[in-house]
Amino acid sequence: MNRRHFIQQTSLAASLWCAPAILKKLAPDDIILGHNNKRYRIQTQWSQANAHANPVNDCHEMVQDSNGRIILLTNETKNNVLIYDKNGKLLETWGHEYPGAHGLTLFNENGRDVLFICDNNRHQVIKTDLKGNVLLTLNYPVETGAYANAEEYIPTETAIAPNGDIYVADGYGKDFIIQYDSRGKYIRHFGGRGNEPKHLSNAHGICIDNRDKDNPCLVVSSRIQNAFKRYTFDGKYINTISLPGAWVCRPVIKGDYLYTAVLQSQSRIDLQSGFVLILDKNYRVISNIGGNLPDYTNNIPGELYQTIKVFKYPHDVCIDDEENMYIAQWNSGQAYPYKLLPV
Amino acid sequence: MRKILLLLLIHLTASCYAQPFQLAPPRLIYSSAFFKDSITIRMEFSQPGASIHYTTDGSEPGNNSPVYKEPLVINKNTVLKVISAGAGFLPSETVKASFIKEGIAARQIAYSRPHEVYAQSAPAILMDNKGGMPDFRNGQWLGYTGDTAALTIRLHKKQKVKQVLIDFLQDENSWIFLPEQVLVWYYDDGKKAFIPAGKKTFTHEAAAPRQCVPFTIALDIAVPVDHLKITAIPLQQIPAWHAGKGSRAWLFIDEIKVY
Repeated sequence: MNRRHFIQQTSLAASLWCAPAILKKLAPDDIILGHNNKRYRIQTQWSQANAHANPVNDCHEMVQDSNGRIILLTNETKNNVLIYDKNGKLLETWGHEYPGAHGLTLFNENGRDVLFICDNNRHQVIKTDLKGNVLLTLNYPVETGAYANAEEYIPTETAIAPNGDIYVADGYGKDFIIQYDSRGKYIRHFGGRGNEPKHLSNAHGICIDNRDKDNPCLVVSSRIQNAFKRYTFDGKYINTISLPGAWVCRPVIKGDYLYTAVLQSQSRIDLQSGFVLILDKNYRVISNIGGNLPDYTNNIPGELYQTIKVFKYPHDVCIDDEENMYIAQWNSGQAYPYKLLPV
Repeated sequence: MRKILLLLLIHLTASCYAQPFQLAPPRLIYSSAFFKDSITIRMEFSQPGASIHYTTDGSEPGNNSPVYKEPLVINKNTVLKVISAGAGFLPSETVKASFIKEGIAARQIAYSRPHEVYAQSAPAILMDNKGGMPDFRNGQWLGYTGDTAALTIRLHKKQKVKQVLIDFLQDENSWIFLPEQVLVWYYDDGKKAFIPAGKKTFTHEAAAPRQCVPFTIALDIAVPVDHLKITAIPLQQIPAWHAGKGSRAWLFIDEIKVY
């Protein structure tokens, strides 16, 4: 028996042998993921993009525009921005000049959608229209007096307040939140590193939480601390939302819920141990896609961790107008985003 | 026959296409991998329909291995292997943890100066029964790069010594490798000299998962001793299969036991 023949025989034998075991298992799209009233079925093959023509590298963030289109930001400079319809059909691409494309935020500015891109490599925040035309560029914040050069500033995320103020999270730099007015004029900075509750460690994401109309606030990730921290719009620390075990990327508000991709479990670092959390209005975990639902003791959840290897390193969540969920992943073998449909 | 097999293969390949998800392994919770009399280990895996299976005899755990129900109490050197399984998923990979019992109590374990970032302040750090977790930043590990780690063990009295155990960290993504070589000597009062008692050379041919490696070296010592010397030489050149090819590797040690 030659080697090739031997391999054929053994692989056939192996297939036959494993058949009953496989038939008993559930295929990914048969599985219902999550808990409580936030349960989903997954579509891992949502994207219809051709990997040769329109490749992705790290899929960092996703948003939905006013026309219902799903916009993906990747650090693949063949096409930094991929615009899909909700069925995964690729409609349009643009962008070759964002090698460190990381943060993507959409803001409706007087009826017109604009995008804010954080570029880690360029040490800049770039505001564009939906065609990629540059409207504003924010360089490193000299005005703070906290930075000696651009390299110290590695912005990861932006959030835009209803009045147009721009908050930039320097999540891979010095962990400051820098607040500008809508024209890019520096107002103040806060957060930064240190041992007090108001300080941040890996301020990776930021969002406006307007679920309580009377008390809107900023929610900022302190990813290495496995927590979110809340601040007023003028940078005063409010409190900390501890999520032990969860490397929370950015908070995303949709309806009454806060969604966040968790890059990895603290208990299994560097081992593709991510999951996706859904928190209610009181910032309590009510569903975990690919992980455990924790018990609470004194308002602190028990350790969060991955239980099913649905995701490798989820990096962002986008919820569309029909409550479908899209998950973009970092460092996950150039995988296109997944879509999850509520059940 | 050949045709039927081929059709069957095609059918099976099609049904195999949608690979089920794999479970993540359980979480092991314990205060330290080192203990004096006994240690309690908790395991956690909260996924409906799934259970935790474990072995303590070194064999690979499977569906027929004992199911974890309550905390495990261990009172001797033990390798614990654990998986999660069930609920229509592929079982997890095996996670392994070694639990190491106190041996002959040492009076002192002195060590040559580690790299300043990984030089812990506690003098008894190598005999404090703390650590054994594969986290190089947890304050339990001494880290060496390039320079040889020279360790001296003083026992309370002269006695028969059969082996030493050194807990190394293997975390190759962080450039932390097993040593190139470990040498052990004992001090002979009559000859007023250190006499070789054991030696181990390590190979680094393929990547290994991140883990603690409690490595035991059998000693060839006929007389009672109270003074041992160990030198652990860090890997001087990271092998070609690794991104750090040609550079010096780190060597991390967090505990030593004498039996």
